[in-house]
Amino acid sequence: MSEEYKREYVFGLDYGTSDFKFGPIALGEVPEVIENRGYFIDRSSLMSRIMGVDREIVVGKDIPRFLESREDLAERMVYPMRNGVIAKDDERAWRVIRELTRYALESFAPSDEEFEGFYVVASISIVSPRYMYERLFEIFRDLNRDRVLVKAATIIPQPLAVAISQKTPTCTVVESGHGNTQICPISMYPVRNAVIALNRGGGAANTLTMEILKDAGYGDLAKEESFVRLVKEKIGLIPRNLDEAIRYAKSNPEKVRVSLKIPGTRIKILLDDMAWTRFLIGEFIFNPGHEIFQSYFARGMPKPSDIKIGDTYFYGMMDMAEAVIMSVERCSIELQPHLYSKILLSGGNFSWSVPEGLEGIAVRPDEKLRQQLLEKEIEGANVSIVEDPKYSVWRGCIVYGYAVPHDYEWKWERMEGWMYVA
Amino acid sequence: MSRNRLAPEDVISAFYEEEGFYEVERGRDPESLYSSRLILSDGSREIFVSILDEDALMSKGALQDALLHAEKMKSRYDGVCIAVPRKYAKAIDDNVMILHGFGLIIYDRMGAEEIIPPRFRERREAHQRLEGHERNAHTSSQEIVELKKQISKLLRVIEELEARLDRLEKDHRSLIERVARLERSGLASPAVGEKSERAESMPPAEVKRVGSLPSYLVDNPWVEILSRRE
Repeated sequence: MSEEYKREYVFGLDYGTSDFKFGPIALGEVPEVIENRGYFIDRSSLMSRIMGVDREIVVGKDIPRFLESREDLAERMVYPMRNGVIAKDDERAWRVIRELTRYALESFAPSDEEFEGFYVVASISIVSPRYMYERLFEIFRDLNRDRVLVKAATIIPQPLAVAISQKTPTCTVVESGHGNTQICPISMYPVRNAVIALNRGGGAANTLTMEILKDAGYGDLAKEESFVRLVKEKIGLIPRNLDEAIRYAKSNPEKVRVSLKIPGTRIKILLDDMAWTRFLIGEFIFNPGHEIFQSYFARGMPKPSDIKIGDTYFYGMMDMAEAVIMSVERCSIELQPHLYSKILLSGGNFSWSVPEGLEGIAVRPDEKLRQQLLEKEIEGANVSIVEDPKYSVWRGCIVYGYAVPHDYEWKWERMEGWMYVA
Repeated sequence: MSRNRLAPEDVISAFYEEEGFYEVERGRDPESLYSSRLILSDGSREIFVSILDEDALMSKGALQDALLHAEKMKSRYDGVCIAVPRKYAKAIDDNVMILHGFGLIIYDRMGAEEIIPPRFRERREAHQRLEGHERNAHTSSQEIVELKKQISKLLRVIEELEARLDRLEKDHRSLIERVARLERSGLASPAVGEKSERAESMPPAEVKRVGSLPSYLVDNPWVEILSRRE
């Protein structure tokens, strides 16, 4: 009976850097998605009194109804997972995580008597320190005080969830979000000792896009992050080879020239003579060490630095292929060919396309990494971008919860199993 | 113009002029059978004076008509007076006039005298306002408390409505979930009674054959790998 109950009430929670995906197995293919953020409301304001004085944090689709001035926004809006890891003493971030979790579970908790709580599978960054696991279990326990929402919970690393949803037991997962990139070999289990983390993700490409816009005369617009992100997504290109791509762009300016109209505004961006810089944006994701970026660093653009969070070292300037090789080479020699034969790219930072007419000059991320690996004498690497990258972690959570037996209890030494919290 | 030849309107008007009033209108009163009228004002208040002369008072109904007419005028003017020749003064009971708020003026050829001042409506209103203010002063703190209670009630009602809306949304999702579950179980197992037994004993290989499972669960080797965790 318990196994059947567990399969009915599996619930996935994916704490992504930008979005929070959640929902029970019954949702099928697509989870609910809200932004991974919380807004601390001004409890003294009339609006907050009308909308419910007992609430301190608002999450989900209600947030826009409470927003105030831009200054307040900066102070009151908290993105807890921006860097993938929450500091132990960052109480505001933890309160947002608690509220998001409560929102997710209460949204789907049935009111029938047979409900005894969900079997929750939460997914967080592979580089998350142990205190994040402890804190999440504490939140699940705490949420049960008013009403039992969680019968048992488990926490799995995001790369493992990606591998599970892609039906691949042996692979290397490269998960790249807004703040960082995690490279994790998987062989039935995540090979934790081989994990490599990079201190750059989509946010680093945004920073470079900002500099390019300034140079093109759009410095006043380059201050708004959402605008910069939109420009990056619309005009950024990944070059097969940067030097060749720049030569091509300068001799065929009409092919790479771009004009972008921002929907709903009068703003129009035109990159004419500087259209070749489109290739820099994509290159920066894969190889920020290229000499061309030195001029940007010299003019004050922040350089992705090496940092240590918890026990994990995040490399700033290491190129993507080098990071994959370093990670794979930490595994047994026998396993290494299998890990190269299935490299999965997942996360929003790998959503790049090739415009018509630029095939061969611009490439998709999988081709870029394969090319980089080839240059480093890794032949036969099979790199692919996961289908529906946005939902792959949540789907992996559902499969994990569905399959792991209900009586397999949590073990800290293995970091898996069910922790009963009801 | 000698004083002896003064008309009643003249003497009454002269009396009120000394009191700071000026004449607004005078003449026969079209709404009365016997009296003439004089309307005076001091800029903020208007007095209506219904004047009965000796000829009019020869008629039996003159006084009655004047009083009834004066009563009607109370709603239009701030003060209402009845003026009668001095020799008829005793025919009128002062107390009745005071009771009903009428002023009484007696006049003769020598001049006019105000026996009973009219009860001004403005004064009455001012008095009422004063009383109102006093009452307000007493009740304002109670009203504030009452208003606060009402606001709290409204906030509670809004909160309750919000909670009810949340519950409705949850129930709605729950129903969707149940429908999906029923659809799944309808395809997966032929009889409800067999369901739990089947699920308990269902090996991973059988799970894969369930047609209505999400695509990422179907033929997923991880289901078998993970189900062997122990």
